[in-house]
Amino acid sequence: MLRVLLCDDDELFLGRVKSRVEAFLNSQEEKFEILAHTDTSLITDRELELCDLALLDVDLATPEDDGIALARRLRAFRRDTVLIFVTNYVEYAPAGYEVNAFRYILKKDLDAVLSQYLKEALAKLAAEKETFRLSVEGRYLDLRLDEILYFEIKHRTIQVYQNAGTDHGKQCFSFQGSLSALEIQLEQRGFLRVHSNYLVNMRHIYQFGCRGLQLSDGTLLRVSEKMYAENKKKYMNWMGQL
Amino acid sequence: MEYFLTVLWTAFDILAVFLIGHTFLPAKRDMRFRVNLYCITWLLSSILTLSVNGGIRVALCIGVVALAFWILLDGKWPAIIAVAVLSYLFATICEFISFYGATFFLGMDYEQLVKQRMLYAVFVTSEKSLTLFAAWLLYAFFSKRKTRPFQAKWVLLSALFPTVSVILLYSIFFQAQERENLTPGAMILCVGLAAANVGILFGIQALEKSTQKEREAALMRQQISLQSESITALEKSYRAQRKATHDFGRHLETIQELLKRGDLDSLQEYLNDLQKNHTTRIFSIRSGNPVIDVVLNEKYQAAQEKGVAMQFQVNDLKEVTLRMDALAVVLSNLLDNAIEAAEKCSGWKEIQCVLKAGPQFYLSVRNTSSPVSIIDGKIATTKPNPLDHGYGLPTVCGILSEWGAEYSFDYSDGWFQFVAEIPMK
Repeated sequence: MLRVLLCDDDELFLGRVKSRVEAFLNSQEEKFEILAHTDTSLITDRELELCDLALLDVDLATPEDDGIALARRLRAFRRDTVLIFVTNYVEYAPAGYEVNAFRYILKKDLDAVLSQYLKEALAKLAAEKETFRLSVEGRYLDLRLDEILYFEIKHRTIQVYQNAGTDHGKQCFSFQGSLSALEIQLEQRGFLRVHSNYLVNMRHIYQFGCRGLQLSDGTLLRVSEKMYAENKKKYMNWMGQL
Repeated sequence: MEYFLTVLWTAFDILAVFLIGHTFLPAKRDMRFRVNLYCITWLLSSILTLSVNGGIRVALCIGVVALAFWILLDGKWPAIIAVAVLSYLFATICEFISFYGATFFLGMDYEQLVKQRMLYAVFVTSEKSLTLFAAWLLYAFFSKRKTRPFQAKWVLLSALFPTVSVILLYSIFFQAQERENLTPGAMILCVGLAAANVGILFGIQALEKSTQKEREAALMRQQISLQSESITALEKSYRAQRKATHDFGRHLETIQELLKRGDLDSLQEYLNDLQKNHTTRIFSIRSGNPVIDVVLNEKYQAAQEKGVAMQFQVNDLKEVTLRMDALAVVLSNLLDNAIEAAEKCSGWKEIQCVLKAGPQFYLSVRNTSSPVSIIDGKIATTKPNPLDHGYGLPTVCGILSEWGAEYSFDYSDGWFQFVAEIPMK
């Protein structure tokens, strides 16, 4: 079930957005639930926690509790919610980057672009919910792909390192397999074979140099010098895809 | 002893030839590699000098040098061959001039000079040292001017004349040897040929310099045009702002009047119209970097006017310390190209622009586009005046190379993307 949160202080416009979103999701045969609010103070933490997709107005009636503030609240619960700002006045500022806004839609362009952006949002949501299944000590374990830092092969055993949030730190699981097979399986999902021993999740690369790369958690990994130019190009192209 | 001296003189010659090669084409290998390759070339040339004679030796020696240059220097095959022939010619001309001078002043012919072994050894060693010094002088003089690979269009011009010169010089030399007489007329011809070759070199340099100036002038024209576009956009925005401020009072009066009358339907209609015709700025970038903000704002307006959707991702760009005029040229060119390509695209028209300051400054401009064929890292311009327009992407690449950036462009799945990572320090 897809849970959508809409928030706009203009009730008429909110109704318009709601009907467009409903029409689109029906056309995609998605099961969904829409919560529409004109007042941010009425949005509960539980609603934010369950929200998969949010379409928020940036300029709400109370400047201290605007769309950005609501997005910050939302991010405290969910890192993976796809966030779209719908606004009369688009302002790209570091605050928008900080809350990881997916798209900005001008209210006057709503009809022209909403369907396209909702389609992209659904694809992103599907990608973010993808998991990687491995068998550890006789039982299956599903790891969220976006939480995996990298795979490392050591003596035909693959170790997968997972960043399970700041409280849990880095976890490691081992399983038998081939890194090349994993590479084929995951290369379309943002993973890059930077070295014969490492398959890295590009989401977590902080710095990529010809002698090595640094992950967002500070881990340093070696990179293949021979494949550096090609891998760097792939990484840079991936970074520019919004 | 003779063999030792021949090998030693070959070492001098090959070093001079390598210096000349470096003068015209940039090296793509490190110093250790260069030294190793120099030793191998020296060894091969020594074997050839000791074992083969005549024109075949010349051709083989030029071949060995060309092969070494192909491994060592950054350039295309014709340019490599041209520089190899030129370098060999340089050493040959120095040798001819020295021999003529020696035989003329000592009053003896070549055979007599060779027979006086000690004198010959001292003379040839001095001649080789002087050749090496002259090569070093040329290298020092030209390398200050920042070596650029030869332009393809000058390659034939530069290769043809030295090649013919080498053949001519050798035929004169061998004929003179057979007749045991190197006439002053033949020597004047040799010196004339040498002077003409030097003249050709300077001519090519001058032509390249003028082409470079032409390119810089085009870049300057582009910068001026960019600045005037920015001024026009700011002026337009200022006028729109003033008009909006002026109209604001009038709208308030009308709303008040409608409210007084209690005519809520008309008021609603008036407000709807107002919202529909709202023409003031609806977009702004506040990245913390005023130059980037101005360029992006302006290009966003241009994209809107052409029906192209634009999405950005920017973080705090206050710390970006790159040269702002050059950065404006880079961004403007990339976004202009993106807007033009997306506008022409038959399907969804969108541009995604990502600017992130971190350990490096990351820049990506991605747009929907009709298929683009990228051949040899170049896209042919389709614009009507290539002199003014063909420099767009090369200018961007030139600036990025100057900054030591890593960059690439690519087309896949209906999207064209230009990405760059620029060192911040």
